[in-house]
Amino acid sequence: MNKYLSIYATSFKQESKTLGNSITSVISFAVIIYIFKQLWGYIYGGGGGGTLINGYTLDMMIWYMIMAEVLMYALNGRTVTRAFAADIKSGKIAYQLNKPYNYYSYQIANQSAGFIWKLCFLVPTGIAMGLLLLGPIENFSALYILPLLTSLILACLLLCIVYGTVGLLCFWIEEATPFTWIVQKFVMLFGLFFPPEFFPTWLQPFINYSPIYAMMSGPCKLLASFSWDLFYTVTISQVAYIALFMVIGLLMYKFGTRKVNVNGG
Amino acid sequence: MLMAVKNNLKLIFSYFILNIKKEWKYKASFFMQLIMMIVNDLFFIIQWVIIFNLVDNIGGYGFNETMLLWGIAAGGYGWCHALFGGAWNIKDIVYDGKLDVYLTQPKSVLLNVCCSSTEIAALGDIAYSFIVLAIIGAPWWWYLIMPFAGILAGLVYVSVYVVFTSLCFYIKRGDAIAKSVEGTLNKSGNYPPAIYNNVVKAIFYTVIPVAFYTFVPAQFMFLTFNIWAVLGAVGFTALWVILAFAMFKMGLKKYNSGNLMGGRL
Repeated sequence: MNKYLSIYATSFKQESKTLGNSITSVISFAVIIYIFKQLWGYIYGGGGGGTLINGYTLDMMIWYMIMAEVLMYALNGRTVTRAFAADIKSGKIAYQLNKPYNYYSYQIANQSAGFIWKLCFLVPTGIAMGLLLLGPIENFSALYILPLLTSLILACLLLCIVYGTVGLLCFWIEEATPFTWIVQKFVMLFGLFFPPEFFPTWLQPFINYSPIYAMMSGPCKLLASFSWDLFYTVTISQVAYIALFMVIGLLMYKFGTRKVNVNGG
Repeated sequence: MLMAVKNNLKLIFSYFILNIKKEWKYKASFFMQLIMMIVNDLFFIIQWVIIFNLVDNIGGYGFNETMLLWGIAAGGYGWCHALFGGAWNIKDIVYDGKLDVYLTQPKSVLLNVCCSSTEIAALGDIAYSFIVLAIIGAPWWWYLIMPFAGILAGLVYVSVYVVFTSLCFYIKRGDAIAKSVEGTLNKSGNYPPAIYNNVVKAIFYTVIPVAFYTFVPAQFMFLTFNIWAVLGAVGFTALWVILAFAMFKMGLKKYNSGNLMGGRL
């Protein structure tokens, strides 16, 4: 475990050199929050269901969106997939095979540094945007901060592991990025754009028990309306899915490396 | 003047064909990227089906009009990434001092750089712009206008990106600003214009020309045809193209060669 922490620490130091990039990248994040605020403000104000739509007030909806966008911006699925794909397709992975670490875990530690660094900018910007556009969250307590951060980090980790698993598909196919688009769109559609309550009743259990709930809807609902019961449910699902996808990733890596042809040189 | 335009169009077309031939070598990857991009784009339709179940229209834009915006945006994104995909490599080329190989060629440096790469997935976006028309049951003449609207939107998109990414000649990580502007252009153009207030609209008609990317083409080429507005949009697009060439040319004076030996096949 220590070696992965060292990898994480080194990557984090490297990320911290991109301060300028990180600051400017939150502009786009702020713009999308503004767009969603305007869009949903129009929907709520336009007589489209009064002040409560599917159990959500406008404020709850926007805080939900803020958390969702923090997650989307913190972890770019394409970047994670491409990191795996680049090593596998270029053959660079051959150099990693004889190192005293597991390549899959190495990449996860490496990518984690990236999202933790981005969260340092996205979280304050998200809070500032929320306070500016909506004001404080109703009935919010300082006690919720730690559980919310835990849920956010676990969600990012799960997203990272899932996209990493997609990246490992490069052992078998030429291009894995298109699969990342599809996973991203599933996450966006069933997690980011709408809370599960906006979908037909028959579909809601599927969403609530899917990884999308653990990596998107769950943490977002926590920010929109926190409850300890919800926190426990979300955390359990996050830990379970992290374990599951980690096992899938490690198995894929194990079988995938058998397909690597090392030509020397 | 006309001869120069004709020659440059010929060059763009030749580059495009060459790039396609290069990618065609990996047929599975070619078709997968194309199809997956269409599937990826189709996901957004569900988002708007759900939203228009909540409200009838957003500032006069119903489902069909909003889908038209998405179609034009997809077309614009598709055309510029298909024809001028190399524009997104300017940052790397400038920072790595790899521009020398383009400087020695007889044609425009910017055009050479921009046309040097084609993103195959972008062809899926172009196809999607027509699929959208089929979905909304568009009249036959909309299919004839769509390529024109898409290319115009694409020219706005790539010009804006080149203008801002030319900052790379002057400052470190100038591309971060370009990416933020691009992100704003990309995301804001897909939503009905009524959700934005007048200040934002003023920005969208000038500094970040979101309006000329999607709003103006949708309104005046398709919904209520107005030849003067179309001509205005063409003129405005031409201004941005000229600005892109001027910014790049000015930046070129600051370029430091990396003294790399290179060639282009």
